[in-house]
Amino acid sequence: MTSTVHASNTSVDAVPNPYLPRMVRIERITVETDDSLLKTFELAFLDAENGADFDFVPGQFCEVSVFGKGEAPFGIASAPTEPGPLKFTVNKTGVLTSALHSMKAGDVLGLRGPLGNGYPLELFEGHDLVIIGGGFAFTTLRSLTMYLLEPHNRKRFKDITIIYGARRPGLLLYRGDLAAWEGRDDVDMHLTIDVEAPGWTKHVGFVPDVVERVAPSSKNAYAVICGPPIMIRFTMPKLTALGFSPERIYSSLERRMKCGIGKCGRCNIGPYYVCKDGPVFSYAQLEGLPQEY
Amino acid sequence: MTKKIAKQDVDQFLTWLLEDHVVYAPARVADYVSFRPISSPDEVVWDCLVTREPPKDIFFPQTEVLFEYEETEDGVSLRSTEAVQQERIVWGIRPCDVRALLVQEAVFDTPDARDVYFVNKRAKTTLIGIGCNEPLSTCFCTSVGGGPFHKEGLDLFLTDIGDAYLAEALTEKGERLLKGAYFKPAAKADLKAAGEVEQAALERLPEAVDLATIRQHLDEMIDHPFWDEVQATCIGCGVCTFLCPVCHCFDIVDEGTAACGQRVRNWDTCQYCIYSLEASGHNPRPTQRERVRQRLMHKFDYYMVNQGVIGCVGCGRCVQLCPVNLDIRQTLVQLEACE
Repeated sequence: MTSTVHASNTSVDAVPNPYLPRMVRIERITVETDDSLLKTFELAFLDAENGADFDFVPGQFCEVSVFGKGEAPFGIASAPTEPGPLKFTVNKTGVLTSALHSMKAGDVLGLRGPLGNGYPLELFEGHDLVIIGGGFAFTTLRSLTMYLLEPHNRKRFKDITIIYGARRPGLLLYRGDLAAWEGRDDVDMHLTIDVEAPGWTKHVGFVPDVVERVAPSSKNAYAVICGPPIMIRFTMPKLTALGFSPERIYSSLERRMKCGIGKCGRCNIGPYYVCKDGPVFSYAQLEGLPQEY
Repeated sequence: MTKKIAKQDVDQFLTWLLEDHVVYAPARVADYVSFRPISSPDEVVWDCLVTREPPKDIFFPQTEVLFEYEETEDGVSLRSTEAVQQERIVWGIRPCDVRALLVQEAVFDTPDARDVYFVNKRAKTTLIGIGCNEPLSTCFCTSVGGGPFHKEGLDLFLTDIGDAYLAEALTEKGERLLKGAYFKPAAKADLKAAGEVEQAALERLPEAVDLATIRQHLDEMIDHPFWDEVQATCIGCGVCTFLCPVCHCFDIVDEGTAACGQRVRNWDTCQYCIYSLEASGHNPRPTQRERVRQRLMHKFDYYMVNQGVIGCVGCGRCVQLCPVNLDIRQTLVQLEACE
């Protein structure tokens, strides 16, 4: 027997392994809310060269590894236009996020990404933008806003309106950034809380009602909305009444995820994978699909 | 190239293959037959058409370590387990299971993200398939675009013609195998015998279910009461997905401590509540209704959109093994009949 199947054509070209995280160090931790359940983690690549090729757009996310606990997806809260570490704001909810909340500056995490599509910035260009956020779903909206307000970018977009609400003042994220944006004359800021609080002079009421009150023009405008499902459910009719078509309303969706690259099957909505085809979708894309989000 | 190998020579051929390959073949495991690495031709079970477990485990193990991690002085070091050294042979894989492997390949090996664990195993594996002379009553490969003698995806294809197997090489890997002394030239009569065997098998198969319009139909049935009827029977055990050769869903978990351990992926199923349950308590698929809908919509709609193929190969394992006797063929017929 002389023949052999030790084939030479079976070798695989070096395939990059999409499951291997890169190492990052926690540079800084900021407690965002008065209930301490939301913290912002600033992460820097251990190997500086590793970070050099990390190009992302607002709206993309990463899989963050807490070794021993696993991985979970988090939207990138910093903007590509901001120098320094990447920011992730994490709500303490489950096993992994509880472990993350107990970590300290200097601790090492794993990071895979950037993943997902991000907000369609080219489509938004030359239009008014209405950014609507609720609760702690403002993370990638922060990234988007920081990007839009960067001096080079600002002139590429027309009027920017931000409507952001939380149950009470102490639950609004990024209060330093919000104050800075309120000081600008090129952003129309509307902050709201659910019920009156001492010293609060801004809107009081739920986000959908404030959207109705502010009544941003839908002419030549896109709306970007992120928040709890209940907020989105009641805001959508308000946007429709203002003349926003489903093609002009974008949202960033969340689903339980594992691989982040469209393999593990977990996060589909109809034929779309939230991890790979999203997380940013227009409501026109979601029409006619099971409402599994 | 087509040759033949006498049945009495097959054991020697397998023994030769075993010298420098891991050979997977249908073998007895407890009280059922599944693909396992064999150490001797004696272990091969020849009369099993549909193994209990599909051979997907050979490329996408039920449990697979992705990497090991260890805390070091200046960070965390990783050791990936992606490399595959040994050449592998799958012996006796059936046409439906090969088609399933191709569907999985379309999911795992995409230009934007190549699943290196699957890709490496695939590249190191030679597939020797065998046609199905006597399809079972649960087989429905012809309903979903396959057939008992489909050769797509194989390196070498065998047809049982009585005292010998007709052996057709379909790739270079297959050609190299056929050059061995165990294979003899095939006579015209052998080719004719193979044709007759194939014809008889096709006649034996139950009538195909017409799925020409299933996708469009499903698109319009998202909120149809039909799903309530199906869920009333389904107990959500997940066996139809775990033992499906196409289903590729997996979970990723860490096993170990912060200091050292391994990251592992395990088969998972869309039929479980916890599959889509979020840490907040929100579940986008809260009842079995959404889960049975997901399984059928994925197989007969979403795969068509994303991979251009139906996500079912008609192996019939889900029909054989469903504890409440749900038959996907009947479900599809009922679906098609819904207004």
